[in-house]
Amino acid sequence: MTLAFPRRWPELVLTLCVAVALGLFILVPIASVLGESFVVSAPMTPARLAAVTSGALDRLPDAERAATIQRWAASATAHERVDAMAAAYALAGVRVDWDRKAAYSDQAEALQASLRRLGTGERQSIERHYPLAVVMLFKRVPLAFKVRADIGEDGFDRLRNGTESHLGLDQYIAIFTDPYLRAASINSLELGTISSLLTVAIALLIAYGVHTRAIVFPGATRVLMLLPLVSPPVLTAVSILMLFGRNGLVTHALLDRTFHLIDADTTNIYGLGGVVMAQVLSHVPAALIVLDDVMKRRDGRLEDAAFGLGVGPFGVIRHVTLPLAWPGIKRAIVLTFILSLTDFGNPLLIGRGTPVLAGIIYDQITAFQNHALAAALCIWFLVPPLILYLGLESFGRRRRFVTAGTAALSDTIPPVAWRIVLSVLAGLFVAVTAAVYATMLAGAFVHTWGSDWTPTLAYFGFGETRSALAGTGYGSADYSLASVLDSLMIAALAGPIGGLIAVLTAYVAERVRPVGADVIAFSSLIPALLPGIVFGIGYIVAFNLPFGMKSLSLVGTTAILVINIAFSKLYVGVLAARAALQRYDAGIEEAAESLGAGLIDRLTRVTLPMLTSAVLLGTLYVFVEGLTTLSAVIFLVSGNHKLAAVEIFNHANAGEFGFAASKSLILFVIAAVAIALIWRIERSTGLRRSAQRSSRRGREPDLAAVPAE
Amino acid sequence: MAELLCDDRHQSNALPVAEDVARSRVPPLPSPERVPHLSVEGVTKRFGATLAVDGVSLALSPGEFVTLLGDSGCGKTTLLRIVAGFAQLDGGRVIRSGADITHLAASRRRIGFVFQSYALFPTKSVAHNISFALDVARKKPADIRRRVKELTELVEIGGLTERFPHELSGGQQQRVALARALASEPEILLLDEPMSALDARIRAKLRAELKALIGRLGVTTLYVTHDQEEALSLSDRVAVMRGGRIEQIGAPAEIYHRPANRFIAEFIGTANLIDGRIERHGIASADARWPAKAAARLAEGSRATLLLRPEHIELVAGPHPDRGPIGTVVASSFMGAVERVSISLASAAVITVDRSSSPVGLGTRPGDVVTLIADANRAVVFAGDGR
Repeated sequence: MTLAFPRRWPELVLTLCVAVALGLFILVPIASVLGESFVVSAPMTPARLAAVTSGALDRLPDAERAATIQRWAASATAHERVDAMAAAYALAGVRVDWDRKAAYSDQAEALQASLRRLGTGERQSIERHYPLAVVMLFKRVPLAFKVRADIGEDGFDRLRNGTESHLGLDQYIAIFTDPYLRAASINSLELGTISSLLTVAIALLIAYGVHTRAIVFPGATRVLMLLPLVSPPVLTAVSILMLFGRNGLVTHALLDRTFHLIDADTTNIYGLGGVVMAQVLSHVPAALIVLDDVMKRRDGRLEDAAFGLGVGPFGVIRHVTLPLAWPGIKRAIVLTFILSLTDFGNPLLIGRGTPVLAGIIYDQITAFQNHALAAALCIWFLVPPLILYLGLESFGRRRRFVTAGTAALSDTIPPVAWRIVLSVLAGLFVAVTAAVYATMLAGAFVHTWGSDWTPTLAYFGFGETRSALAGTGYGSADYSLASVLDSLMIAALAGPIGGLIAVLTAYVAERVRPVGADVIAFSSLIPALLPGIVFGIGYIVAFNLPFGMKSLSLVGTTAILVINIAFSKLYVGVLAARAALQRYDAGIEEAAESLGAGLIDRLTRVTLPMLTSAVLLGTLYVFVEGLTTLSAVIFLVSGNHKLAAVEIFNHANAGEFGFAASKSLILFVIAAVAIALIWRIERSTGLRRSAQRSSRRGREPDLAAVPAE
Repeated sequence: MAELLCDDRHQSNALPVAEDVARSRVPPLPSPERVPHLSVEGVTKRFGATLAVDGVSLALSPGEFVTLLGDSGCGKTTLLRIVAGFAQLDGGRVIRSGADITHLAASRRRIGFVFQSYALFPTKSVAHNISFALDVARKKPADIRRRVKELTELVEIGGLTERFPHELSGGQQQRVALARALASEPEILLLDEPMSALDARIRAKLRAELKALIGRLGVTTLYVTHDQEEALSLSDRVAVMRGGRIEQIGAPAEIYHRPANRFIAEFIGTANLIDGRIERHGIASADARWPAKAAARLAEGSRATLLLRPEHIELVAGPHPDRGPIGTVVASSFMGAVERVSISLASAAVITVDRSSSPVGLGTRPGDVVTLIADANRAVVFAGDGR
């Protein structure tokens, strides 16, 4: 349709740009994960290997070829000679008639005997295949390097590794056949179940307590509960280790050294229990946001009505409150289950002894470069939440209800006993959360956590960090604050890019409305629906060798981090901008057009100014994501470009809690400021919207703020 | 609907009909040798399976005010948006002063557009709304300031330049929208139901102002409305649209007094439509014989439909079979200038008649027997059923 409008070419160009950007940086990576998951790499058969090897040998200059083969054949050791002869037998089609598992010295003798028993023809055939067999078994790597320029990167890899890939389901089946993967998946499911049920239960109690005003300080509790949303990713795990680990404040300094009750080296938080604790603490805020929303819209009058009908408090909860909150509970369970399943930070730091799939994916990529298996495991990740979601959807499906648009608070406050229990529970949770942050704060300013409590500013770069703090850990992590600056820079780059692309995407979806506008809008939402880990792996797979061209590779660049961060949180800005555009009259852009403004003038003078808050929101969300995300970018950082979030994870892994705490603290403060800005923007747009509504109703608008002419 | 039509008709009755008729003879009907300022030729537009605009052709002379009148969905706004360049057409051409602008971007057409919703820029002050076209054209700041001042005085919003759209009343927003559309001195102005968001009292006032202003500027204007009163009072010519086609185009008085068909007759004002057969000097219906000069052009004995406007029938008390059809008053209501009387004929057909009202109250009562005397000169005759 758009093509039929030649005079709309600026819109056409904009649409194409947006579509290409979304396709390239969202759809392609995800399709790549899917594609990669079917790639099975297997060793070649001897015949195939021989063919590939001789093909490579043919690339050598004639004179050099004979000499090289001869030199390589002659250089074979006794062991190599036995293996090569066995391969030559196979190539010649003669059965190996000695014990291949015997000692090489015995095999050498048996080989001689076997050769003597063979006819001349067979023997000559074997002798003829022997040099090729030596090369294909032992000299493939030098050969591959010799002919690398001629056979291309794919051919090079194939020859060097002696493997060939084909498509298959092997990576998917591995989860059932490989005992280690099987055990890890069971652990993952177990962890996901325990962690999500506990998280949602706690979040539900707190949300209920806050909204029925059953707990003391409901407002403060809610704000404190939401703090972890802006925290660096493994902060909770780090603090838990600092409190309950081998050198933990509680376990080591108090219970072990002071009271001699336990041995902190054996009795500590490490294990599944610790992972559950860390996950619950980090995921309650997410569940709380979902449940908060449901509770906010819950109509207290229904509960009052139930009380009025003589139903007791338990009855009201069972028959009124819970059924109404059920959609939210359902969403919270699925959400926390996904979060738990795809979380590798907490299990890697606290639960090394209990392998989970997310941790295995991390290892497969960072240690083994086995992208195919990692990709297949990622795809597996989508299955349990989907089953869970469908299961929960069918449960209680018949009940459909619409509550009143204007929710009123119930005047009935729950019984005193409940209020005490809820307050204590919330208080406990708040105390633990506060302890987590206090620990981070303290840890950033003491010399060596657990043994030397001398105050220091060394972790913030004031003083000799490396020598003064020698012995606090090991590993190759960065000891300076450079990574924090890198993080800031990358987040500051990604923020505006994400905000701008988000608004342009929304503009295309809402105003240009080309064929497939909905597809464009939906693509921007995909990263919100998929685990971050999938998005990260997608980027490695897709942009390692895009279109097979090394020069286009983005892996290891700053760009890949910026792009990944910008596109993973693009949807926040897209949703905000679409909502804003839907609120404004489409005629506004047409008015600008009829007044002579081309696309650029329209966007810069009319549309973007209307969407300022959407741009800012999108920018800030991407910015915060850039500071705090770990799951996707951990696979994308390189030696040159480090991110503080990843560094914190590495420090924590190495037991360098001071560095982890100081960097966490800085990130947390910056992110908190950004979030405070977001809240202000959201509140002010809310105010402006209500002002517009009131003026539209014809009420005389408040002109007090308008300067008189 | 009947109420609405009564009301509308009543107000259109207040029009200086004679003057309008007189003016409609002068007016700038496009003569063949003169190039129209704006014309559309065979414009067609589909939305899926629906034909929104069905081969419409229309030409406006320089300075002419033409209104597209019709119910919602008749294609009038779509046609206007095609002229503005907001909507693409599936067939036909848009021509300005002889130049084909069918495929010219809206931003380059130099056609002013006033939106039904005004579509003011919410983030810009009144002054910046008005100066937008000049800002985009990168005019000199001093010129822009001068022009904004001119325009704000022209539309009488001088004190509001620093306000923002959401701080203005509907009428003020409309004036800003008009000033903004006029800022770059377009030679053609399109207005899409600019009055529909205003309440009735303001509407009447603004209508008069708009007419004066546009007359003064001499800008060629295409106006869209579903309000016949607005159309009749503002326009040099009115194009009545239905189902994506123009049913009739002509001066307001012509549309009212010489409707092309039954639809127009019923759409504009109140119509008494009487089916019958042509006879000498008139039409014979089931109940009576109605004199009509126009009947002479049709063959005697053929089926025809007679249109009588309520003000073209006189009432005489009592039955006078020799003077005209006889009926019984069934209802009568006071409407200000006139009294509207419903009269039932023998066949149960109901005829609406307007008569001048008097201060002593209603001149007729339900149950009164009256004789209807139709003005044979004014009666319109359609062949067949008039469709």
